[in-house]
Amino acid sequence: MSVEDRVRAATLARAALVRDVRPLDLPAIPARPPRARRWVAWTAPVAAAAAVAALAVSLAAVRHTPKAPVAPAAVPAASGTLPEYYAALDNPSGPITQILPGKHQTPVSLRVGDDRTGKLIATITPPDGQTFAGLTAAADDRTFVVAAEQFPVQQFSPSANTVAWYLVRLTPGSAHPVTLTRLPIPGEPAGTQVSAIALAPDGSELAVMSQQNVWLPKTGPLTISLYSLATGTSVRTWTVDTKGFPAGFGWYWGRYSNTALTWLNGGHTLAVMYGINNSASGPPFTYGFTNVTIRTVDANSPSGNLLAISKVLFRLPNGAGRAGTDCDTVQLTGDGKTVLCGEDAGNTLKRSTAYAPKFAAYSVATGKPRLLYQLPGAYGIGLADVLWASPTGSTLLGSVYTQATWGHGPVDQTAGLLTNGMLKPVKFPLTAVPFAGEIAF
Amino acid sequence: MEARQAEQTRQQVAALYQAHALGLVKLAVLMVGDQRAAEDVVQDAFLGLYRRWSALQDREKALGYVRASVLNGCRTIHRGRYRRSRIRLEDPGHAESAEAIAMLGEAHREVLAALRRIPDRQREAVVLRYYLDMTEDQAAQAMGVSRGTVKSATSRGIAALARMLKEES
Repeated sequence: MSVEDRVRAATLARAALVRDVRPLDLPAIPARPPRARRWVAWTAPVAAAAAVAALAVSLAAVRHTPKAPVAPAAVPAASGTLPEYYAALDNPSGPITQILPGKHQTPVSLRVGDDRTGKLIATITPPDGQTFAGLTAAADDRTFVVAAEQFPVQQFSPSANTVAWYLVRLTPGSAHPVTLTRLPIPGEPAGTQVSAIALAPDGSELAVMSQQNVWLPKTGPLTISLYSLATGTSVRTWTVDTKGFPAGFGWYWGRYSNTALTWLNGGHTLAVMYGINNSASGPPFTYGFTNVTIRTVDANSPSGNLLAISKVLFRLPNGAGRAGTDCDTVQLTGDGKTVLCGEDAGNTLKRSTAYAPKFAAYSVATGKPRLLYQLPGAYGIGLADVLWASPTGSTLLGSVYTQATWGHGPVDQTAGLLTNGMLKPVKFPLTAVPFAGEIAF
Repeated sequence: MEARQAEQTRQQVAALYQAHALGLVKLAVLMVGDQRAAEDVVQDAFLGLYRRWSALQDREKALGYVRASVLNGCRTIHRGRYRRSRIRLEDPGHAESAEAIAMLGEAHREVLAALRRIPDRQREAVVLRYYLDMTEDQAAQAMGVSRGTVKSATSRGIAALARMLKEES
């Protein structure tokens, strides 16, 4: 082995021993808001999780060379770039949306990769009897939370409940670059649908939007809970009485959206997006959401009625051609100024062939939309998903899905970075192009 | 307004810290050999950034500024250690924690010990080139020297390491 190789191996091995650093102790300033998040809070779950069943994942050690001059998510990144690392759900048998009871099923695994190099860092299969179902990321580009459900899937998707939550930590360049640790956050009761999740920027708390008995009699209130990752306890719970109707907002079954909840103001404020579906009799879920509203709530507000303690930030206009909004996926940007919308540009239910996926940006201040991109052509199905957006919305990762005629012919799906009116394709080493909620940065 | 700006600055610096502190502490550990000292150096660098934030012309260069501060801080620690070692006859190579030493293999320990015995500039060049896989240009920018200096420092550093490792084997 050459001296250079020995230096590489020794420095990587020594650096890998450094797993955590203490929080930054900046001088206090007079008008500091009451919610003082400490960076140490997101390192705490690792220690706390030692008390619960910890799952050490055996991974092939993939050598990853740390790169210096890059800007991860929390940093004002240059326009047109993604955060370096991502985690994505992957079903070896095809899109995860095709997992249905009564059909051949394969558990959904988690793939962690580096989009700068295109390399896959690790594939994590779920624990026996579980399948991964949703995921969300902190702002450090290294921390993710993943939801798991029972496997095989026994019930129609909306009724499947979260049975476990896991913390995924990425340590590039170490012998075990990815670790999976079960969190003490409890699973959801049977019949409870989780419609959205969002990990706080510092990774200390998980926001979960859920509803009991969706599509069943006695549908419960829409509930937004904040869980401490360190202790697993619910620190806040806010509810909305939806008069027995399903509520929430998210692509497909309306489950595990990682864009319907957005942390703002460095984690001091939570933006909650939901609509009430009082027109459809069952899933697909997004069609029929009316009066989709984004509300902001101070994360320190006491538990109780969300409507009483939150403010309306934005209302999405209802679509012209159908009940509810034209947006299939919606993302409020991290600066709270723009609402990004992935539209199908028409009423897909009418089985016309005149639709094209498009992305639009609404100004929160004026309510006016601006067309960002429209896929050329006309299709029977044309969907646009917002997968990720930079804090100002200047960079958007989206996917477009088309089929020439409704239910017939080949399906085309592409993920790409949207900048300056162009969609530059981005390939991920996944079995299928991810839909919204299936990838996090 | 001032308080809000200060809070905004605090959040931006904290976000940078959250994103990069771990990587910078790893880099500093390779330079100074001790995690506590490495964390001190990185904290000081971010405090410096926090104080200078309003004067920073190009925020995109914040990371480069912090990295340069970390390298400077490591040099200062080495100089301090060297002075102390002359008085107390301590071996500056013994800064590693016992736990870290125990977890590393013999071969790695030899390399790291040798790395700490070569001059600061050579160590920086070798670590930036072979640990961070920086190009000569990137390393030159991080160290604040010319590309030629990086090239010669790397070459001399590797030659010195080769000699030391050969002597020990």
